[in-house]
Order: sequence, then C-alpha cells, then structure tokens
Amino acid sequence: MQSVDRAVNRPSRPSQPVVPGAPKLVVEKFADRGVACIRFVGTIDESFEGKKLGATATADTLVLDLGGVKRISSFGIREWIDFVTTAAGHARSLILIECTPKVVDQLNMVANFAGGGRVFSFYAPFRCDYCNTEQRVLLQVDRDWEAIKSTRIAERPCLSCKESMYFDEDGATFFSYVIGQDRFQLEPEVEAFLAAKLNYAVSDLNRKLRVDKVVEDRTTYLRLAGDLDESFPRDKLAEGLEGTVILDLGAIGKIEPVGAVQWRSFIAAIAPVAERVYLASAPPSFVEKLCTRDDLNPVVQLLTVLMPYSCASCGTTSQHAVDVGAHYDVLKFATAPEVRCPGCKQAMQCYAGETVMTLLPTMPRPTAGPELVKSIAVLRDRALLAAGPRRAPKAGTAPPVAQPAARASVLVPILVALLAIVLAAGGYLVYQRIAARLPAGGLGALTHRSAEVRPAWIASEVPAAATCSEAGKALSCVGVSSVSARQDDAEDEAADAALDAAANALAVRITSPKWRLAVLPVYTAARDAKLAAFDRDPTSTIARRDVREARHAVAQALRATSGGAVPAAPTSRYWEEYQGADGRRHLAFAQITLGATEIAKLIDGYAQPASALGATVVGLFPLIAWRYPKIERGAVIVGLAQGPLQELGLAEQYVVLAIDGRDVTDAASFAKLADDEHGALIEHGGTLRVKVQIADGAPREFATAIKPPPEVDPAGAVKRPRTNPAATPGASGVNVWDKFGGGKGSGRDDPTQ
Amino acid sequence: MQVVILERNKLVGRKVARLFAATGASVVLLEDPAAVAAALDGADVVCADTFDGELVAEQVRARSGLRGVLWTAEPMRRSLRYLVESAAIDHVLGRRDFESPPRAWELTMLARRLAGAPAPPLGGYLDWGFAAIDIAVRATADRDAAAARIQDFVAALGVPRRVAEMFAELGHELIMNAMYDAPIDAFGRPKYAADRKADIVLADHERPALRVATDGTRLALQIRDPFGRLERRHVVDGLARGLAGGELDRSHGGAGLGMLVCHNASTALFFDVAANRHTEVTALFDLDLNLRELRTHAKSLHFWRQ
Repeated sequence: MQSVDRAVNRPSRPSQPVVPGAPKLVVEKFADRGVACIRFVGTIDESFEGKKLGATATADTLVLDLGGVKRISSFGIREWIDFVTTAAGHARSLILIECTPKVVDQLNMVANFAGGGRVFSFYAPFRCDYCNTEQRVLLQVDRDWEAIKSTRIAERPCLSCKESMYFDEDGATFFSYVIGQDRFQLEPEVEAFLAAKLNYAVSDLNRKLRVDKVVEDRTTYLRLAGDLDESFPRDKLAEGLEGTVILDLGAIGKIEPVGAVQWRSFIAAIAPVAERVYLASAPPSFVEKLCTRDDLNPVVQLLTVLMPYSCASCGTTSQHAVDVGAHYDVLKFATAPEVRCPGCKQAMQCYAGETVMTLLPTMPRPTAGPELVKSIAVLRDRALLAAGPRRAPKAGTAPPVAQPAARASVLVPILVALLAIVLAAGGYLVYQRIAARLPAGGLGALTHRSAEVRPAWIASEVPAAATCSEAGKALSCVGVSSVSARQDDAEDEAADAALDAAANALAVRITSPKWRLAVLPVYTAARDAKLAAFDRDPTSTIARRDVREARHAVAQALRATSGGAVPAAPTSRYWEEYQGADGRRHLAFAQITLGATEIAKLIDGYAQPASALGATVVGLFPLIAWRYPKIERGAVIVGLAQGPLQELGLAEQYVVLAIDGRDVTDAASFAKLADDEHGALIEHGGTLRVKVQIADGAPREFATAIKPPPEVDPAGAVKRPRTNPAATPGASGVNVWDKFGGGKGSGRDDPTQ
Repeated sequence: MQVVILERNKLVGRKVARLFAATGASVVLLEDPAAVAAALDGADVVCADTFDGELVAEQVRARSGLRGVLWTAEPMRRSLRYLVESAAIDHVLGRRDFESPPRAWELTMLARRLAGAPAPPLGGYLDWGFAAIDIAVRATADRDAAAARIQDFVAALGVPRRVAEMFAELGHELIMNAMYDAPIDAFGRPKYAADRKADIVLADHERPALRVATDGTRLALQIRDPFGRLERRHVVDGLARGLAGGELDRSHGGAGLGMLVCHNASTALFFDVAANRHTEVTALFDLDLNLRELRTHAKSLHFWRQ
C-alpha cells in the first residue's frame, strides 16, 4: 500500500468560502496517442454537463482520474451516469483510478456508476484518533488484491504521530463493488501513460519493459514501453544492431538511476557499430536524465521530443512530438514551437519544465531528413500490429490495412499530408515566451546600455530565463532579468537566475543514484511548479515573485555552500535601458562561468556522503531552496539504516538542520555532531534532539531520551539508572490516554470509546 | 394507549416496557411470538424486532387500526420490506446490538407521538443547552453557501473532516428537495422540479426553513418546506430502490437517490408531513460514532403524516 500525502487533514477545517463564479468542478484532459485521461477536481453536481463531456472523450483507453472528487450530489450522479455511459461508447476500455472514498461510496451505492469501466485504484480512508488526523491510502487492484478481498485492512502507523491509525470504513461495505470485479493489470501503454504523464505509480510487475522491433533494410526500429530499471536488457537489445537504429521512447515510464546507467551502457555499446542512433519521441523526463550533452554525439541524435502542451481554450492537455531538426531555430532560444489544439484548433501553450527547455538548446542539430521522421509513425504502427491485437492501434484511429507490406504504401501519403499540415502550422511559429514575458507593446526604444554591443555570450533575451552551455570543459550560465524599473534590481535578478541555472547544471551532472533518488524529489516538484506557473502567466506578479525569490534563495545557498568555488559576483554583466509607454525599463544579463576544476569540486562537495548513527547524508544542495527558501545549510538524508536516527523517526529526504542546537553546515559536520553528541549521551544520559525540515512549514524537532549505562555498586549490583523525568517518552504528550492509566482496553485506547 | 411488546431478550424487553409505561401507556410484554395474537385484542401498537417483522406485518394487516413498530440491529434494508408491504408500519428504531434496547429518548418520543402528541420542536431531538443556527435559503445562489455554512458549523465541533463534509452533503440534498421538488403553482403542478439546473428565486411563501443544531453528542439538521407534498411512498420506495442497488429514477427530474444519500449520512431520519401545509425532515447524526461505526450501526426511520 502506498501512502499519499495529498489528503492529510487536521480536524475538520472550515469549508472553502463560496466564491461566486468559481468553478465547482475543474476538468482536465490529457491525451497521448490512444490513451486519454480526464481528471476531475471538485464537486460533481447539477452543473456538471455529463453528456456533453462524454461526447468529447474519444480514446482507445479512457482513464478517469477521480482523485480530486470532493463531493457528488444526487443530481450529480445522474449527470455522471450520462457522462460515463456516453464516454464508454467512445472508448474501447474505461479505467477509473484514484477513486476517492466519496467515489467508492457511489460505486457501492449506484448501479452502473462505473459505466462498465473497471476500478484500478482507490483511496481507503484511515484515521488516527491520537492526533486526530485523517489519511488516505491508495490501494491498487493488482497489487493489493488479497487485502481488498479479505475486506480487512490492517492498522498502520500514523504518518504524523506514529501511533496506530485504523481503516475508517466498514470493509464489507467499502470493498463490495471492487470485490465484484476481477483483478486486472493495466496494459503497458496505459502504465507508461500513467507513470510518465501523471507520475502515477503502478506496480513494478506492470511496468516491466517491453520491446517491439521492426527491421526494414538497414533500419532497425525499437519501441520501448515500460520503466528503465535494473531489468533493462542491455546486452540482448544491443546484440546485432547495426545500420540506422531508431529508438522510440514515447512509452518509457519511470527512469531509475540504475536503469539510466544501463541505458548509457547500452548506447555506448551500439554507438560504435551503428551508423546512426536516433532517439524518437523522447519524453521530457528522458531528455532531462539521459539527453545531456555527454549523452549525445554525431552518432546518437535526438530526433523528436514529446512536449506537453495545454490548451487554454478547451482545457485539453496533450503531448506533441516536436521535430528537433525542423524546430531547431526555435528550440535553441529555449522556446517551444506553436502547436494547435487537436480539439478546438486554438494555439496551445507548452508547459515543459525549465530543465528541458534549457537542455534543448544544447542539443546538436539532428542530421536526419524529414522522410525519416515521417517513417517513424509507420514503423510504430507496424510494431504495434506485430505485437498482437491487444496492443494494436484501434480501428479508426489509424488507416486499416490488410498486410504490413501494403500498409506503408497506404499510410505514407496520409502521413505526408498530416505532416504538411503540421509544417504549415509551423509557418506561424512565434517565440511565445519572448512575447509573453515582454510588456504589451514591447520594451520600447533602447536608450542606454552598458556596452556598445550586446556581448556574444548572450544567446537569448527571453526575460527571466536562464540557460547554461558548455564551453570546452567549462560551464557558462547566463541569466536574464525580467523587465524591471530599476537597473540594479534587474542586475541582481539576472545574477540569481544565472546561479540557479548553474546549480541546475550541477544537478544534472551528479550521477550518484542515492543522491538523485533522495535529493531530486525534495525540490523538483516545487521548482517545476513555480516555473510552470510563471510560464503559464508571466504577467502574474505572484508567479514572478515566487520564481525570483526562489532563485535568490538558491543563489544565497550556492554561495554559502560552494566553498568559494562559485564567484561572489557574476563573471560578466550587461544591461539595457528602454523607454516605453510605461516609462524607463531595464533588462539585465549576467554570466557565471565555472571552470572544470570548480565544477568537479562542487559536484564532489554536494554528492560526497557522510554517515553517522545509521544515516547517510549529503550536504544541502542549493536547489532545495526552491522548496525551503529559508535554508542555506544543512544535510539531506539519502540513506537510513538501523540506528538511533531511524528509531527517532527520521526518514530519507529529511533535511537535518541542527543536532542538539548546533547547526549542521554540511555532511561532514552532521557526522561529527551526531557521533559526538550520541557518544556523550550514551555516557551521561540525556536527550538527543535533531531539528529537521520535513515538509513545507516550520522545522520540526525529533527527540528521544538516551539512558546512561546502569551504574554498578562496589558489590556488583546494578542500580537503577538516573533518568530525567522530563526526558521520558511518556512526557512527550503523545500518548496521553496511556498516561492516565489507559492501555487496558484494546483498539484505539480512547477512554471515551 | 395499549402496547404489546414482543422481545425475546428479557432485559431489553423490560427496559422498553418501562419506557412505554413512563409515557402512560399500558404495556403487555411477551417473549413468545405464539402469544402475541392473543394479546392484541384492544391493542393500539405492536412492537418487535425486525426478526419478528413477518409476525408484526401479519397482525397489522389483520387488525385495522393496529400500528406496528420495529426495532433492529441490522441494516435498514431488512426492515424496509415490511414498510413497503404494510402502510401500518411507519417506524423502525435502530439499536446497537441485540443486547441493547433502542435509544431511550427516541422510544419515549415515539410513544408520546403514537399517543397523539404533536411533533416536537428541534430541541426535542437534543439535550438541554443545544446550539442552533437558522440558515436562509431564498435562491439557488444560497444553496451552496448554506451547505458551506453547515460544514463550518459541524467543523467547529472538531469532528473529523469527513463528518462535516457528509453533513454538508446531506444539507445540500435536503435543500435541493425543498427548493426544487416541493414548490407547486396555483394549479398544484411542480414549479421547478423539471429543471434542476435552473437558477431559481423562491417567493416568500415558498421558502424553506433550514436549521442545524447540536448538543455536542448529536447533530440535527432540519428543513421544513411550506407545501406538505411528501408522500410515504417517496420515502419508502426511494429508500428501497436505493438500498436495493441504486437504480436511478429520472421520472421526477432528479436522480431519485436523494433518500439514499440522506439515509447514508444520518443515524435517524424523521419525516413529518402535514398534508398541503408543510413537510419537515429532521436528520440526526450521533457524534460518538466514527464513520466505520456509522456504516454498520442500525439506523432509524420515522414517518408521520397528519
């Protein structure tokens, strides 16, 4: 079972104020080839137009993400039934995921609530009476079937107070619908979709990598679907590959560090024997992790990237394969090409993360011609057909063909026509980011600048952007300010942006699996969210402030923890002053360069682990400031074995700030302080106190009493150890019922029960 | 009022008999079902566990004027079949288990009303010292605000979030019924039932009165519309259909599952209908139950019509 932190609640809070005009239900649509997902967040009531939405839900497999459904009124049920019945008519299969307890109630109560679909996962409500919190635990029918079937879910430790929390429903009632359906597993395409697009964890068994292969003349096409992990069949896959190799990565799910290592090893094995290796439909996560400049070379080229786009008009979110070669001139400015919504034809907004957008300009321009790009779709269809009917494209979504040999001849003209449409749309390419981040009417007339000519190190003028490029073994990171009324203000912002980009470039270069597993999750979501919010609405003061403050915090943390490897001031600066309708405005640029020695020192410093009391830590990485802006120093737990800190309740990804009031500055200081303090407590007794940052909010202190060894009197008898009453666990106030003579009853130990 | 009680558990039987006696009723307490028929001459009410529901239903069918009362520790569905079959059984009292009597206050309230007492005020459902708020619902726009206000009121008690949400949902359902289903025009035709999506503004004489109250042990939500059109079959059939499998009934403009929502969100439901004058629905929730217990605790249902 998997805990999900999205629903941890204190005792009931006041309801959200009713905002007139605010939508009660937000519906988001995602689509990727044959799989589409509709996510519902809010209340389903009479205002939900089920039939209308259902008519638009065309997909081979339709996934309904119900994790955000808060309430369903009885009239909402009627609309829902209309929706689900209509949608079921348009999809080959219907799958319900993350059903909230409210949805499970409806499934149990209302006939045909799932519309013939199957429930793959749902939340079971848990409650802790000790700390009065509620939590939801995600159950999956493939993984947790035995527990579901037994209708008994064991008590589990509360995430807040570690006491026991219980399943707050009647099992026989709650599981009645799900038990009535069969246990099933998701198809690989759906697994990959959920894992990659929704960051949805499906079971390991389900995500096992599948490879479909098509060989045509000297071209070998390999379609990979599933997770990149230790099971990656590197040697088997590399065997016999030659000529042109196309690796279709569109269905790749999660990328484990060990899988990344295997992948690099695979590429290293085939690069010398293949004429060209083209990576096609690479998802953003793949680009971030496995398409750094070191991964690509004249033989191994990135051909197309799957970019996420969202339509502000109809709310559809979908992935679009962007041809790197065709759009190279746009991508090199860290901007995405314009794409039209397949549903409503309006212009879509790309919301790819800053990391991907800053990596794309560093890619070499692929040498493949458009014919090769076109042929990938044909090869993919052929591979899916060869894989069997279960995985073949749905009739109607691809032209039907009798035989594979004839298929290409039928498909190619159609694909060429489609491509022509896409290319025609490409004629309208605009640099959306530049336009969006500039004031309406542009900057105005250039009136002053700090140098006669704009320096060559400035490759982009997208306000508030930051990019890094390699110059030999050195790194050059350039930050651009947003448009500012003050020159000094703009210069500071540009410097912070450059330092943030430098920190990100360092993160990409740290390959330690432990580090990546523990440190990246601490800040990635916060960083992506803030940058995406700014991307979506560059005019938003809040979004801009969030990004700016986070970058400033990162810059401070980088300077504080770099040990002098990062220059105190930018290597180069440049600014421009404009006179426009809004008055005087400034745009500043800053460059930070790091030599190979500094880079190596920084990577070593941040990734070097230290261990004490069972915990392995690394020094605080500056990008963590995106999430915890007030922290400049500390140590991140990347591994935790049996020991006092584990017993204390610490966990991986916690940031240790202090031990017994003494600040932890880096990994080494953590190890020293922890060992020293624990040693002293073992000798004299007392309380071990560790201050950590766990989640957003104030740091939290964990404490435990450590008893000294028993004293032995001259006669050899053991005396009772002297303990500080205030330091006993019972004084922590957690288990107050036991303290007042409880603990006699079973269950929740609440004397009122 | 003469009451015949069939209860196989001696202790439970004595407690129930005492409660009836306290209201002035004369009581015959029996343990053997075979003795019931002989004791019913002149009786006004026959009471038993749903386990003996068949016997009660048979006797009320056979004797005009005799009314049946059931108590149960089992799901409502089992008792409901007797309410569907016999119009003389209007009351089911939930109890914790077969060793426990129904709630004392509920039983005495039932006894008083069977003897002719009028419907109690909201305070009758709660202990002395309760707190209540009145919520005005005049238009569609007020509906969501009212549900949010109910949620806030319950949340302020420090109860689990899900309980507060559940009660807000219950409020929403009851408001929808009072606003859209109840009002009729001068010709007796439903005014708003056909279109639940329409924004409506109720005239002064159409407005329902909504109250939510608590004594810290129980929550009460009461809504009263000035039409009195709710029929027994709306309650019993709606509940029976919902509990039997949740088939939708679109014939009245809604989904026909409102009764099921009300049942699932409460421990006791009271329907008081004064034909063509008012319909009052009171839902109670026992705050000492957690949601797991709520699901398994037997529930009460009372239907009164003047």
